[in-house]
Amino acid sequence: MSDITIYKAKKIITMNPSNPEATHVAVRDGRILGAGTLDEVKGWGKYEIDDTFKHHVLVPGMIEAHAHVAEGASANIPYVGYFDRPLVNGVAKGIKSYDELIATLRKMDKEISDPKQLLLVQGFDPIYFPGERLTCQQLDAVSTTRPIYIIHASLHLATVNTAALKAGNITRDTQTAGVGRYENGEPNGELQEAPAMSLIPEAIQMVMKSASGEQTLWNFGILSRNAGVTTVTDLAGSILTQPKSLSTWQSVVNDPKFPARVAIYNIPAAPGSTADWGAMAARMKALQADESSDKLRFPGIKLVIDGSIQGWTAVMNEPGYYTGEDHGMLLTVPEQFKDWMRPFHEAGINMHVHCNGDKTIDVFLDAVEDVLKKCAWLDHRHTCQHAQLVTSAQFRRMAKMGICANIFSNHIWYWGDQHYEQTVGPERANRMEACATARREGVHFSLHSDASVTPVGQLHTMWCAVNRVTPKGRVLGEHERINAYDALYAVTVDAAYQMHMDHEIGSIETGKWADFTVLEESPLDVRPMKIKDIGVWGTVVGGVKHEATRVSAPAAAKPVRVSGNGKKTAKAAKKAAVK
Amino acid sequence: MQQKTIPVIILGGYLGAGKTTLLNRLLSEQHGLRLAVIVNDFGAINVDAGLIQSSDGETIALTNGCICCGMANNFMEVMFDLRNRAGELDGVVVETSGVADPAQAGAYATMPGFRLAAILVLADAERVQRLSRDSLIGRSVSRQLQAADVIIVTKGDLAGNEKTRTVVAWVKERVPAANVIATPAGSAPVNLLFDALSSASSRLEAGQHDDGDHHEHAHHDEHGDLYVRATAWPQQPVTRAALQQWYAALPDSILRVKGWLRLEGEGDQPFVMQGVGKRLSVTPAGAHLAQQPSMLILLGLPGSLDGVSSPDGTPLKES
Repeated sequence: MSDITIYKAKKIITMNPSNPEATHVAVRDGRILGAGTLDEVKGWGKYEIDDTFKHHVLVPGMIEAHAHVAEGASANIPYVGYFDRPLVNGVAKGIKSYDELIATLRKMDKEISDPKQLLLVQGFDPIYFPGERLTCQQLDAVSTTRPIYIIHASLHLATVNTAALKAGNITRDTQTAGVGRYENGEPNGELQEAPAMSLIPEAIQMVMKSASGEQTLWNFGILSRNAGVTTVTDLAGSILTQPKSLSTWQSVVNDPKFPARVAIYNIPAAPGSTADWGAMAARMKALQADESSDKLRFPGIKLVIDGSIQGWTAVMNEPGYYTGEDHGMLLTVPEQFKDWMRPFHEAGINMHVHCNGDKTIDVFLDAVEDVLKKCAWLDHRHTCQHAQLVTSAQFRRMAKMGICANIFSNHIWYWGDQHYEQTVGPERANRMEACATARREGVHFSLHSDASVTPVGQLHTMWCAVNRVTPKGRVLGEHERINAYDALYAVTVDAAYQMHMDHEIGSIETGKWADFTVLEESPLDVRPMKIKDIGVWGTVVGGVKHEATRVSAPAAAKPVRVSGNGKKTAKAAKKAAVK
Repeated sequence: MQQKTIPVIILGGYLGAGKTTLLNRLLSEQHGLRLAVIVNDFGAINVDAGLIQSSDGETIALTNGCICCGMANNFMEVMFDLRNRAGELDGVVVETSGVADPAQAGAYATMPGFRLAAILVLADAERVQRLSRDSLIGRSVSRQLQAADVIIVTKGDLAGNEKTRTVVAWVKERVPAANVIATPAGSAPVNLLFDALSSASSRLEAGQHDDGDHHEHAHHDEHGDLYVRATAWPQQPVTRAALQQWYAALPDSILRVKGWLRLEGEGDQPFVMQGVGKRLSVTPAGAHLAQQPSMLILLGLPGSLDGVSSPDGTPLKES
């Protein structure tokens, strides 16, 4: 058997401007020898042709530079959100009415044999159900005996049924803040924020269990693979704060069968609290030097300095929010923020910083300017994450300072109408996720899903950036549309760039890892509105093929048992991964 | 029998207002309280190495009974851990970040097993007015003040008496419902806010009468703190509304009121009263207090008790 494989494809889009298209790509030891015609790539030695992709289009392995391992955890909990959502083994249909919600919950209730076991579901978003508020009364129609606990999409709220109120001993006398009540003082089933949400211990235990363990990591890889993503980030990693999690990540991701590279950006301290930043920088250097592998990387750290726009917690410049009450609050004292960044910057550690509001972006830009004056690291590629409301003036500053943007383009679809009508109003909504401006002003930018906030999938983030349409049929800012090539560049070359990995991944060219996304059609050739619906065969990661789970029909959101033998479920997940 | 609840004080205030100074004192002095102090910044805490009993990186146990916990992972988990150790604790102090809204942390203190004793916010006399107008953090600073039950205006020594008085009045105007006092952070009477502090209070807790033989008019601790206390023996039941009115009218420098008393029209059984700053809770008392005459203890800064009487108008006894 030869050690060179030449993949033949209908078309190969390389994203290497000096060699933009090819039909063959030669691979040895996981790396690309060359792309071109068969004649151009066959001279490396004895080879075998693999024509699995002869009817497919290869693009560079897509890179999701802002996701969270919570995506894998959310696959453990049945989904009842408004939009369709990919699961590990299918797609959960979006739920469009209370009647559908109750019907779906009834079905799930019947599928759980233990009548006392809590039914935990997630993803419900009341923003799509104006008018009547969900209460325990509606949920009692599902069951008066089984506790039911619905986590809302915002994660700040839960609605439970009366059986769950009983299980949590929640009564009219409960003192805990955040217990929603009817006018007569009786609890109405709404639990607002973590203290109240924690009143039902079984739910919290299930959530915590689902958020850790090997199965969650496998799910994360499987969902990435199914969406055609070859490198995915965990952009609020916990290895610095919980060093024990490192070995789990290593054993899963370094498993040859695990279908993705993972880049973990650790948070050095819980948002809002502080730490010994110098020591954390030293630990990051040690992680990079001692624990990295080809598939598992620690390119930098993550910091969070404000909230969300749709939660009215992002910090805004004048004239502030369009409607609603401004809850904007920095999570970090601005004067301290500069001091926090400095040890990392001086150690040469890339920083990705969550900034949603435009005032928060000023805080970030000022801080980078400050550290740059003190320490001239020109190639830092520090990145403004989410970057939803960056203005032209801010993009110009970013370009000058070498700051990258990772733009949350999926917001245009998932919350675009709410931004237009409620949060920031028409003009600013039309220039949210301003990809065209970023490009014009010379800022390297990527696109992201923030999975599990929206599902992982770069065809969808591209589709949003290219079309900018909303569920109500608006085109949200036609002047900020970009073309499909620039969108593909954003999720390949530029995503790699902002993680300092563009010399290894991001394009199909000599010397880089053989990471490909295998598509049924070219995103550069289909109608722009079709980009998100292009079929994904799967991926190639380091020369290893990973076929996606084929989904022929929407799968019902089947409750996954979170309890029980973790090893066994991890094995089952692994089996699904290699099938 | 009521489950034991751990009183929690939330400590807020912008960077530089004196939170760390106050915490360092709590962690080092012999106040006789077994406190858990959850700090935002482990590095800033300056505990004498001789006081450290043991340390595992996230938690430091101190010889004066305190434990100091970092918030590195998850506030909720830290609180759950502390709840499991309720028997070993007299109280919890939570330091919030310089821009945090202390009311958010306060919500955690309403979980079962805890009781929100007070939200205490420090304000730097020299800077608070300017900070409250700052375009970036002004809203956070104002929100902190609004959330407070007790506001301590600190750094009066640097700002001068006149400026401090102006700032106290300025804060009072913005947050009329909070108790506003001026004192250096290092001598802020935080332990006053906890139940177990005063010996008189402990005796009351045990159901013993104060026999009146204690003529100690003020208590000096080793750091030179000074506060006064008095006992009220209400003879007549008052209505709940009258009690609340009486409480609201107390001077700001009275920081703590606790005890039990009968309420007019609400039966013969006493109610336990817990007042810290503007926060007042009135709950039915346990059976062990059924036969006890009504009694309240008031604790405050020197001079605070002048002209104050019991809810029913009977005079106070300094104790």
